[in-house]
Amino acid sequence: MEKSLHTTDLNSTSHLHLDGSVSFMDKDENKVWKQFLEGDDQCLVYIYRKYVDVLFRYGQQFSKRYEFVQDCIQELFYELIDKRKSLSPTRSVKGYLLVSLKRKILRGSKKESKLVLEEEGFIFSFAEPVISINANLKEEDYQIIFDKINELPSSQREVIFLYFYEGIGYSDIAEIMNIKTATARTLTYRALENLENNLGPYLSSFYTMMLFAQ
Amino acid sequence: MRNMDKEHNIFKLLKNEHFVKWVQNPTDDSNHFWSKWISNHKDQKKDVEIARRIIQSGRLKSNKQLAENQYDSMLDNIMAYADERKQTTGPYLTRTFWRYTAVAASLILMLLSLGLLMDFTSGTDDKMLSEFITKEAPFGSKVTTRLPDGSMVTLNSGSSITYPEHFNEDSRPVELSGEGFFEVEHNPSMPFIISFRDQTVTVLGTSFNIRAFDQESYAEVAVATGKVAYAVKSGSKVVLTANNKATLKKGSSQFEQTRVNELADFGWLNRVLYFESNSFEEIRLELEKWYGIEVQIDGNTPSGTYSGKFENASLDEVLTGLSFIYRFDFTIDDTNVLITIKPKQ
Repeated sequence: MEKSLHTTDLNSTSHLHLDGSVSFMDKDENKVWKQFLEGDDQCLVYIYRKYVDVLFRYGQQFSKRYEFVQDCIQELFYELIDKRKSLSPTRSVKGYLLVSLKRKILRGSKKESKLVLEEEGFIFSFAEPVISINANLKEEDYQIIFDKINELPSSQREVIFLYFYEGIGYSDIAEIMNIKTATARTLTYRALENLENNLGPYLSSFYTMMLFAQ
Repeated sequence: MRNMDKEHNIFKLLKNEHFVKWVQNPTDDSNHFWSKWISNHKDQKKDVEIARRIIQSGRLKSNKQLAENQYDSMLDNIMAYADERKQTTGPYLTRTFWRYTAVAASLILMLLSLGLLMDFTSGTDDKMLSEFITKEAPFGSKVTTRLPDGSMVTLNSGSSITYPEHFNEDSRPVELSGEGFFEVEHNPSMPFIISFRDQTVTVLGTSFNIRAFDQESYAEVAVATGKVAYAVKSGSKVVLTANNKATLKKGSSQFEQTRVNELADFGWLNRVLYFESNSFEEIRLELEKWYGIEVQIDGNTPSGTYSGKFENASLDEVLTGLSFIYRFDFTIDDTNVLITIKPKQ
């Protein structure tokens, strides 16, 4: 309580940038979500700005009709507004958005999305902007790792994307993939085990190379 | 050859949730933990590095980015929809209802325009029947609304704005009561003119805050970006640029110019309740607006000013904070607050 009685920390908390846009980055997401559920529409701007790119990226894995994906995202936000009163204040916002978007896209294009997902969905590449000086592996070696990930079944690629690259917890992954939480964990482990097996000979070659490097 | 029974360290690490969290989102604690772990497991330093880079350097190949105009227009649509729904707060109205309403509305519009055409041909006044729209943020709430030209206005508690359904071709006039933060779409050929009390603010495209509550003794314009012209209708005028503000006391025609204080002038947009040498009475009025409550005071109104801020705080938190300074007890009963000043010891 003492904290809020003094004005000493003014500078550290100025949220408004000089370009006039309000910066939301340092906001507590759960608070924003709760405020939105209580009727504060301003929070939509925060949720939109924070997640629209993730949603668009995720949606593309199921459909290459970009306008359709965008429509689904917009509909998703309309529903958020409509369902506001019935949404849980404690759940993960990102998890909820991804689940709902996936459902929408699958509903709107079942056949297409299955095909797209199998063929083109969740295909990874190695992307490192700066080459690290004390690199332990060459870029090609990392590319091999990602090529092997790309050989996994699509559900395993998806779980790798959600868990490692979007930082989504197992309980949300479970909902997104329509499986149990324990299964989500098992699926992730299985994906990693398959990857390790697929890498087999390469892995030991990384290893010997590393010994030389040392 | 690799021993198939033994899992490689890289994969052990990738299965370790704590490790993955650290790479994705390092904190002081996890940095400490893992640097210690690495120094205790020097033989695995390289495994850690490889596992880290697998997590950090993977990207999806197919990743089309949203174009900027699509990004903006989607957000506009969403905010307009939220706004539309705010007008009819009934929980039973579904989107289907809205769809029907939209159809009905366009039918009515068609009929109206037909009617207008007929009026026109029969020689009657062809002035467009531009309706005025009023948006209001009641006490205890804040409302963001989009104007017909795409400009956005956020209204603070107890404020309202009135504007024509359509702007005509030469200007964008709106009327403000209370406090609003404006983000005006740039359009040099159509000045955006805000009237309040006997004053106006004219801009071409910029963002700024106007505070002009009737119950307060001053009006204030604070500019975040761009340039605005702030004028009393009867004469004097000042041009303000970014990070400057002007205050006009009631009954005066002399603008007082100062620099913007982000927390004081724009903090409310982020739900920061901010006081700077405010009297108890000023604080009481602000709380009534902010939380939509009525405050009764039992005892003598305390003297002395208060400076401080409350970020996204509940009424209870704010009152508890103030009660230490001003020495009072309080009870909250729905929207009624009773403050009992403690006798001096």
